[in-house]
Amino acid sequence: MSNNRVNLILHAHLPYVRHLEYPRFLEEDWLFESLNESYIPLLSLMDRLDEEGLDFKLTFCFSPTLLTMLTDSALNERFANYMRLHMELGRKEIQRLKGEKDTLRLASAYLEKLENNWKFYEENGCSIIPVLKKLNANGRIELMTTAATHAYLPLYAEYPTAVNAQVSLGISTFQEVFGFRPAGFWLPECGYYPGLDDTLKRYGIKYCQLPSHSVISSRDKSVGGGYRPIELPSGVVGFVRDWSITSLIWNSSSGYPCDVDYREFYRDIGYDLPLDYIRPYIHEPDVRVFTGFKYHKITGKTDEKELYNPQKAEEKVALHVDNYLYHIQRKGIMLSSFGLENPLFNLCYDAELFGHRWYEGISFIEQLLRKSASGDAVRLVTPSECLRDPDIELEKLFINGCSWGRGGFSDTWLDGSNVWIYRHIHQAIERMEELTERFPDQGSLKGRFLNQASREVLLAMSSDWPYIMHDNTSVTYAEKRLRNHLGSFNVVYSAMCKNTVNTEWLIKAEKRNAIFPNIDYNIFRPQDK
Amino acid sequence: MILIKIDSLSTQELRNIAQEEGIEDYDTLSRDELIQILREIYEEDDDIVERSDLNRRFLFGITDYREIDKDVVELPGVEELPQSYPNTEIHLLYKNPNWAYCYWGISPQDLSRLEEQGKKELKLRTNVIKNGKKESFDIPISIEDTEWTISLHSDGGECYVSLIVEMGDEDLELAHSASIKLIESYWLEHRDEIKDNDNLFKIYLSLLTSKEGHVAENSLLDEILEIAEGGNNE
Repeated sequence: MSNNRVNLILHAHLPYVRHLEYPRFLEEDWLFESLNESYIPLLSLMDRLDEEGLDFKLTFCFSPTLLTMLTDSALNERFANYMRLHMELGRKEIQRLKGEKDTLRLASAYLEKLENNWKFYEENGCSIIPVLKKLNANGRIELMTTAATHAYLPLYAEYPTAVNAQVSLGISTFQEVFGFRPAGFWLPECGYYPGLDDTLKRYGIKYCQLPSHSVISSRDKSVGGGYRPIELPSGVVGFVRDWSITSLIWNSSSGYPCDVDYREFYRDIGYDLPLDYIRPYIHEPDVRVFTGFKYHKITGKTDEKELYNPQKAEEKVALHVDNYLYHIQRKGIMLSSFGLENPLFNLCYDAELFGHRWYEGISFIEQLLRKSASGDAVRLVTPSECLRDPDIELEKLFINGCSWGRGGFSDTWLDGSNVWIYRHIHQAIERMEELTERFPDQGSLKGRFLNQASREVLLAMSSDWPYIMHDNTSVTYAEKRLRNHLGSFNVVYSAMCKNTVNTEWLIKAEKRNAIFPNIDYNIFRPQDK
Repeated sequence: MILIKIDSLSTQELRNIAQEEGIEDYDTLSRDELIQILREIYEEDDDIVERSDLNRRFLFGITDYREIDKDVVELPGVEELPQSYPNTEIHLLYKNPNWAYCYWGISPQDLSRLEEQGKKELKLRTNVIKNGKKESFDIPISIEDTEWTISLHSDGGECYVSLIVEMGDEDLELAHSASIKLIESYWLEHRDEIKDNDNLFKIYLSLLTSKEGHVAENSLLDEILEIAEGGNNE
């Protein structure tokens, strides 16, 4: 049995997006694309491997915002519509491509995947939750939680009530869905600050993950170099991400997904075909979007893209999996030569990378799990298993503030594009705390009003809005969402200061932002008072 | 605004984008002309052009469609966010080992009091406390300023900022922030030990180096490795 233990952790997260006021809403596609291209294929694969009896293990984190959307019946209906529409497009493509043998084969494969995904989803009661529960019960996957709205916590260190609210609601949402309390807490964006582990400990969390540079820059001298789990001052254990191995995939210029034989993400019939043909499958008014029907391979830096060849891509996947395992094994030998035995490699990725952003990623995971089970290069483990393993030594370290963002600290979420938001969010947190003290234990309409105010504050804290502003993608949407949550909070604050309730706002706000149904606004009451 | 991998887009795609951007004669321009015009548009917009990064999340298209984003309908009673809030307070946020960001607000009462007294300048005082000793330095600021970026050092301790007004010979503190913990790194504190820990640094670097030999981007790491390289050369 290999001494190279590998903790493969996939983090699935999407911001809370739900706009039932529109027949279709562009940003809701984030959820539908992720479900169809990543979550369902990944879980369907794992379900199949589990039934085969393959010995595999990995860890999944599904964020509370994503879990809420995955269990939302209205969004589920819209996903069904998305799938219907795309299957219809698949059938239309098969008609259009008659006579183009190779492209037709690709279109048929896409349609078949859509149909299989939908079948798997329907067989599980139009949900992926039962599959997650089953795989967890069978010991194949470990499940962990994260902050309620995926807030980047270091920028809220001054507000312990808000951090507590993010942690406690993250845990309770997980518990409501899965029926047990999680041992692990994914720090959003690997954002850590000294003392955050105390909060996690208080809520019964046993472990979290840490960015790779946190060890060399720690306050204490590390001898484990990040290959041993870190015992933080509170006793909570931090698993250090291996940047070197993860970047074999996650490098935007040389990672495996950049291989010329892999499918080109940006070449899609949503852009290539005439509007009259594609109009029903894109967004109004004639907003071209990705449809998932992509027929070309990366080829190189040229517009003359060659046709995608799935068989060739599959061969590359096999080579890349071998290369990935080889790098881990080689590193294990190197570490052993320096006297570091039983290294632990923590490989953390966004779940949406596999299948959605990297089409062949699902096949990569399948071959990785199969080859790990049959070979002796690595041993797949879970964080909880590591905590019980007597062969794994912990290392006590004091870790400084850090993240996995650009530069390793808070620059991504605190730059010229997004710095303005904190003045308003911090003020909203302070005012929410003030409301809990002025109006404690309110029931009925006032209680609902205050509960909704706390939802709006939490939604404003999401790390996604400043990230989108920094990344310059859907900036208009992110800014509108943020302003709307904060403006909505101010509706409650102003009304409560006049001892009134804006019922029209409340009814509509509860319908729109139907997240954390059991929230109690008193979670924002400062604990030392 | 984003525009991804412009060179690899098909001519039809380029025409689609040009049409969306309102370019006349988009259907008669050559491929090279389209690329040039679109590059000019996007470069004017901002610095970020043609990024194709696996780390990018939340993409559903090749452009951001700036003017055709659907409005998020506002709920009844929601107003624009205020420019400022009626409190005198200051906050300090840790950005990275070298910089912190601080923002503040002055209440209307305090502002009118300061104006009555003819105070137009304030001081932003940075206080660093380490091993029980406090060191401070002042930055002159205008009464209209509301934010500042402060230079930090990564040698431990805590830092807070205060908003100060001079009253004759005395300084009056209007507000002070909560403290933030500054980075304290073992290897920056024990520079002389680095050269004796070659193997340990090889282990560290094995976690942080790509297969091409690039080390993860991080200013603190750069500083430590610079010392290590200097040490190895000795």
